[in-house]
Amino acid sequence: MTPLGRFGLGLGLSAVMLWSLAPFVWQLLTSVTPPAELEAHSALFPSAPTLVHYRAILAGQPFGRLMLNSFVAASGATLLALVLGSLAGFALAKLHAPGRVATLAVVVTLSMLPPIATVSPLFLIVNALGMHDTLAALILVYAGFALPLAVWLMTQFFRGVPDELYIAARVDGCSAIGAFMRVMLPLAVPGLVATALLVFIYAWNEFLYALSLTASTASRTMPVGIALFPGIHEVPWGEIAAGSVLATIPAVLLAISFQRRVLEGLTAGAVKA
Amino acid sequence: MASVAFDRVSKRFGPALVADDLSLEIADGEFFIFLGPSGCGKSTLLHMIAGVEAPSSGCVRFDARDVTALPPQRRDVAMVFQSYALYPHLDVTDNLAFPLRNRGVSRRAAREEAERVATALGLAGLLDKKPRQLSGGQRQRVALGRALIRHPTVFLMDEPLSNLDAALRIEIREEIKRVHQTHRITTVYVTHDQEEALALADRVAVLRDGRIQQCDTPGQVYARPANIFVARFVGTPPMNLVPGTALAHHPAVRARLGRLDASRVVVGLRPHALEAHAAARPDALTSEVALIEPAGAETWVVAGANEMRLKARLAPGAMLEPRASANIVFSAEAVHLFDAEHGHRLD
Repeated sequence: MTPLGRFGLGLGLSAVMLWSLAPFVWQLLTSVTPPAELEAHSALFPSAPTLVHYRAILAGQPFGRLMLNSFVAASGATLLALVLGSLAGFALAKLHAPGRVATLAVVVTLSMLPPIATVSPLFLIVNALGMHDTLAALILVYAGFALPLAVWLMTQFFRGVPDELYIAARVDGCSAIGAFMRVMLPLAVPGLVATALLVFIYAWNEFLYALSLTASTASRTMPVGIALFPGIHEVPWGEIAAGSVLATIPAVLLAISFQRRVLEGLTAGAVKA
Repeated sequence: MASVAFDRVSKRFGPALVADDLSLEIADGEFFIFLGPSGCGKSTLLHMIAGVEAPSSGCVRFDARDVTALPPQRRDVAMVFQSYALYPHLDVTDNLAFPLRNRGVSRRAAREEAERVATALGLAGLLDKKPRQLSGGQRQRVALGRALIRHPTVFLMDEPLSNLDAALRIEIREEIKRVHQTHRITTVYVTHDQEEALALADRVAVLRDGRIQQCDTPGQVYARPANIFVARFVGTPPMNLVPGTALAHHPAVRARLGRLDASRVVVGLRPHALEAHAAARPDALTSEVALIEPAGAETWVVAGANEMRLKARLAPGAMLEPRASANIVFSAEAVHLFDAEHGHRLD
């Protein structure tokens, strides 16, 4: 690459970084700015960084509860989506089930439904089932929304595993489910990790359903909880910022530790290895 | 151990017919080979024996037992694949032990058996290696071992040598023959390589478009091909096929033709049965040499042009050059006659 090209590339990457990171940096700065300076809308950079907002939200009992709720809802949905998604993906990729193409087409179509279109029917269904304000409702709804993605990714992954391995496992004495558990699943671990991460982050960040299907700290998740932080005279920007920073950390940690696997996962089936 | 029978089996994938009303009996302990061009559905026949694919109609029997509806894990067959199909996440020991563990054999007993089989196949030092750390030949030995370890009723092999280089192919081919001679397990083997088929099989079925063209011992398939397709497919170099009219004047051909109409006959002559001389001979076909093709033990002479193009063996001691005149001789026994329209054998 020519020096000019390298310069252009660096410039482009910096622009993208700035674009993506700027809101987060602003959030971070806000979270350590003393309340007086926030009210005055003075400088962007705090004169003396403070942890007062963090202390405030951590002292209030609900914050830990919100964290826990988010974690339970996201991991529950991830687990459910992985179990159902990998079974469906396996069947679509390796069993000669009739209607495979039609099923995948329906799966893709479903994933295009805007969440807002389904909020009110889901609200009614959840209420009718007596599941309003429960984490179980959130888990089911999130898993349902993440399933098309999970099915699609896992189908691509299982397609990448040679047919002969499935046939070999069957001939070597496994039932279809046995072959799935003992041969197919261990070989699809990168796909499982990628799918899990995507579903987890989706559920962790989800706001709309969490807002409409929860009513109290019994099931309220972090994004909704932060939005509802009580302010006396005005919006508690400092605490909201601090809460957002804390809520972002787990997702960032997960993404960093599994980023290689996610990349492998997202490009699965794109190029023949 | 069991015999395997196809009873009026048909199999279609959409419009493609890979087995067309196929009936066949493979004897207990026999080494049976399906030979056919790539993509003619040979593997599907194995899959139907294994139970991973169901026939569209007809049934598959082991001895007298109808196994058509039996799932693979209850058929007790073992399979070796062209791509080896070793489990990439397991080491050699666990690959070998896999079929035993599925049958509830204890971990320790399975490991001991795996070690025993590995030693017999010359894999003793590789037990804790993963498949990706092995060479092609070693992988196929492990695959053989995995199939052998549980003494299956039927042994299925799907082009097991096609991914190996030439030297290794001969080595593993001998290994397969040795394994069959030792254990006498009914073996059904699929290949597109006629040389492999002739070297290994007790009986060969030549397949085309889902139908058996000929099913016989390798000797018979070579000596008396049932039709033009088999004649061309079996034997290297392939048989010369010449319109009857072009050779009708030759005494050896005339003797075989008898009352047949030469214009409705295709004459087949194996290159091995033709001898090309430099000196003139009585009853020789004389034509210009196009190519000389040395092949170690033999030297092949391609002479003539168009429909009279013949490949022949260079006679011992003879010297021929391109554009020289070759005198090709053969006996009446070397002549095969086929129907020009339908391709079937005429004598």
